[in-house]
Amino acid sequence: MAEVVIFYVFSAVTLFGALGVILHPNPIICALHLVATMCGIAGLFFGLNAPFIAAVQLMVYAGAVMVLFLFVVMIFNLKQEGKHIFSPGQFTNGLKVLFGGMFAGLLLSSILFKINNFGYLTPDKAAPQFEVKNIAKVMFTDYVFSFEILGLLLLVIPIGTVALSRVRGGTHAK
Amino acid sequence: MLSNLFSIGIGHYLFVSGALFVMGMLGVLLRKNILVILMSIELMLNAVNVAFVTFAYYLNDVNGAVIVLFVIAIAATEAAVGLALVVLLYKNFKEVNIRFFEHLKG
Repeated sequence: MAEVVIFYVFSAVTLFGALGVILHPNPIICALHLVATMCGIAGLFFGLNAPFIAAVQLMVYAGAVMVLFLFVVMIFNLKQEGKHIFSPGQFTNGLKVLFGGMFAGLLLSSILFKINNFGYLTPDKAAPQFEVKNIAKVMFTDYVFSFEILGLLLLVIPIGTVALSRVRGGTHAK
Repeated sequence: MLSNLFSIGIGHYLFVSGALFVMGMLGVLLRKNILVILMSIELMLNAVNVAFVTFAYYLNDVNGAVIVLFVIAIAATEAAVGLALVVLLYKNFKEVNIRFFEHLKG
């Protein structure tokens, strides 16, 4: 019963937050809705027996990335966009929504048709499969090369970001 | 399907993941503000993470969880670079409307 409650509460938070992100005119409120979405997703991870990933999700997204977003939104001093939050063009927007709906239908139908084939999947609820120890074992054996490359990426990205934000003018120099 | 409403299975989580992905996609396609577009990209990445953890849980396989950690790290760096570019664009053009940049010429 507990997992039912966890699933419905957190998926409601997640989907409500996502709707707020794509529909609210004020970018700051969009960012706050995104925080709610990240917290909801962390709750879903918790319901999937992965508390470590839930904690990482909360720290990295709801903590670091969202502070970055809010900081950028606030230094821009953006005024409210008013009614025109979507790109202009009624016809193209209708087309985009139509294709988005078709894609949603494709996903939904593929889940619904294949759901019976997933019947044999029985999660081992007692085993602590996503413990830090198990994750670390795989990460530092099978994925150790990817891990090193990730470290290189995390070295390169801050340098690139700082260099990028110090660029003056470029081809549009005044 | 209705009889399964109170026994949470793999389909429920995949449904949430798919809905989140489609919402992020519509946000990228429809919104005008570059910052909100970046946020929608984060939504799509998180939808994929939910799908990964769901399959990892139901297949009793820890590989999916490890890949989610990689995706989270890469998404954080991607957000940093994207926001740096947005700040640069705003400094040069004083504009965050994506339609303003459709004729970028070098």
